[in-house]
Amino acid sequence: MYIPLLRPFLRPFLRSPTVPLTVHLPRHPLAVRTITTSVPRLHDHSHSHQIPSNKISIIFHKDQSSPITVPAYVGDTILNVAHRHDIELEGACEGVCACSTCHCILSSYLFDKLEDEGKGASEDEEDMLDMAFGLEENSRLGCQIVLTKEMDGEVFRQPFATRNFYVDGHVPKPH
Amino acid sequence: MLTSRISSLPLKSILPCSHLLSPLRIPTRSLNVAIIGSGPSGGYALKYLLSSPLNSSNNLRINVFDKCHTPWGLLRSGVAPDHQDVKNASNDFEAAFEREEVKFYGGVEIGKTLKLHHLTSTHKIIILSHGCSTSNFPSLTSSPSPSNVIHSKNIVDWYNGVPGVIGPILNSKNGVLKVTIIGGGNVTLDISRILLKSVLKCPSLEESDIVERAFERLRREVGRVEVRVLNRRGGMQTAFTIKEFRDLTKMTGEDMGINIKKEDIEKSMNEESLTELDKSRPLKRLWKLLSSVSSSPTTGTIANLSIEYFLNPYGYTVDPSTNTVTSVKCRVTELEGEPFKQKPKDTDVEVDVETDLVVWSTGYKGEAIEGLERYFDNGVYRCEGGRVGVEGGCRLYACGWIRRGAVGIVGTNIQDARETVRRVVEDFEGGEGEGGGEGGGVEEVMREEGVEWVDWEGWKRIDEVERRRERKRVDEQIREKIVDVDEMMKIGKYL
Repeated sequence: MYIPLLRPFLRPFLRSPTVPLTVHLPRHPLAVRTITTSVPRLHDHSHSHQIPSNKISIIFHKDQSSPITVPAYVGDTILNVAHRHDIELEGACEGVCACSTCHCILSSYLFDKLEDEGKGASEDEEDMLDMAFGLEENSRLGCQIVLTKEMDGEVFRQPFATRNFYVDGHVPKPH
Repeated sequence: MLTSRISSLPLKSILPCSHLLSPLRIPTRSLNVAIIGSGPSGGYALKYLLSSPLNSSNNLRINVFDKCHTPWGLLRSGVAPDHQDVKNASNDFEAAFEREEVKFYGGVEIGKTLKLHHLTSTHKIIILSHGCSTSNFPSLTSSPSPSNVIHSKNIVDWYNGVPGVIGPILNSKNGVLKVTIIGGGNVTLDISRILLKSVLKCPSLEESDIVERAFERLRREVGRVEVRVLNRRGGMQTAFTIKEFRDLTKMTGEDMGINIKKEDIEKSMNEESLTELDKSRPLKRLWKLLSSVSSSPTTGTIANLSIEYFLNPYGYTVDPSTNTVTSVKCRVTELEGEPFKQKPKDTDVEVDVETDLVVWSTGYKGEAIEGLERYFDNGVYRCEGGRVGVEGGCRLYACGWIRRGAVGIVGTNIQDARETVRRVVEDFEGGEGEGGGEGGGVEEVMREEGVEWVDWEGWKRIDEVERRRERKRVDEQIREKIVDVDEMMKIGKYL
């Protein structure tokens, strides 16, 4: 409620000019496969009993490395998918929205779509995001995003591993 | 990562002629790495070392030392007992300790029980992740240390079950305890929340792993609590994070109130601070919450928290008969300096804050391990990307609070540990270097030196006892920590 209203004002500093914009890869899964250089590294058996129509693929993209396309299932969280495929996304609190280590950045399209559908970040999630490093305008916590059919081919970017953890100058104090 | 998974598979279990493999699995030499400290920074360093190329191409052996008899550092003794979710990070580290190439040595303090040269002669690489545990505060009085003035570490160690900590004197008057906490970070809010929850008899505290020695005394000696948090600067320079503060606002009701003065909020909005506000999303959200709390202050019947700004404590009123502080003398301050560098400046106005207990919650400082003082500056090891230096042929690296100072949350260690491990790998691939780690195993050295320790299996026994012990409060209670070193050694000592 509060954040969307504030968003236009946050825009200029949340996305600093030195940080490259989200890489917008083609959203069609077939198109994606043609440009992806890495192969999914582990074949996924864990949900093989599920009906095929629930199967989608999503893309993790970290820093300068090639995007990694992995199979995923509708109803799963981004964090779970990442863990199953050895993607470097921590989840120190084990997916209960009590840390900010599964922070990832969505495409503006998906981010806005979730907001419109009332699936935007809750107050608790926003509070945790405040402690995340490399916070951007479209930041969310991976443990709070449940995959839907429409997310097929979406890119989830991991925050830039920079020493300036807090782009906005905020330094949290120890617990 | 895939390779590390494969290397962790027990070969014996999948190969039919495993007995023939055993001689092959004892290599001529192993790459010994020591990690000092098993808190979040050491834990993440361990995790990333195991998944690094070092582990797949070498016969890696990682020895983790901790001065405590238990692992997890501040996850066990720092994170508040009612924040169990944050402690989940240790489950990740647990998996690492289960691996054959990782050993835990609890109750071994490097520089004291075991000297540095004992480590450098048995390891090629040492990662210093022992954190910051020094807790100094100004004395503010000529009288010998008043009995009711403590550092936040004392009270946190007390309720979190660090062995041998007696805890503060609670000089409640008719059951009312007035606590003054100096410094307003998340530790301050943790302490406040524990005190408030104790008098409010919150089930979440009863179910937590707060140790009985603290819980019982708080219940018995404190019926009502008034916590005043003193900040030298203004509201925009608040050091705590929104999550911790929101938790407190959710506790308000008839019995509990939170108060922030409207004048303080107005005074906080000087031009420089507004510039700071404009540049920070977290601050904007926190500011909104602070302002809304200040516009509708509440007073509770048994528990009250008041967050006060622009106060600089400069002295005490001491009752000489009991050697206790009865009030903290403060000067009202105002801000001066550029945005993000604003400092408090005393004015002539003075305020007395009546108190029964003074807690200095102004942060922690690190201390060098004996023998490494020359690498140390200002409470941290001087290092470049985690590289500290070479000592007796052994390469030294730092990670966590002792590398960057005592700021940041559990997750902050992730970037830190990744970078340090990256340096370790780079250096190793660039050449093994001379000396270091050529001697025998560290366990032999420890036996020669008469050092006793708790190993991983020993800790698991301690853990089991803590989880299964009879509950004094409620059945849901997570664990009752052992607070006695002798008892820990009895259960967990490696024989």
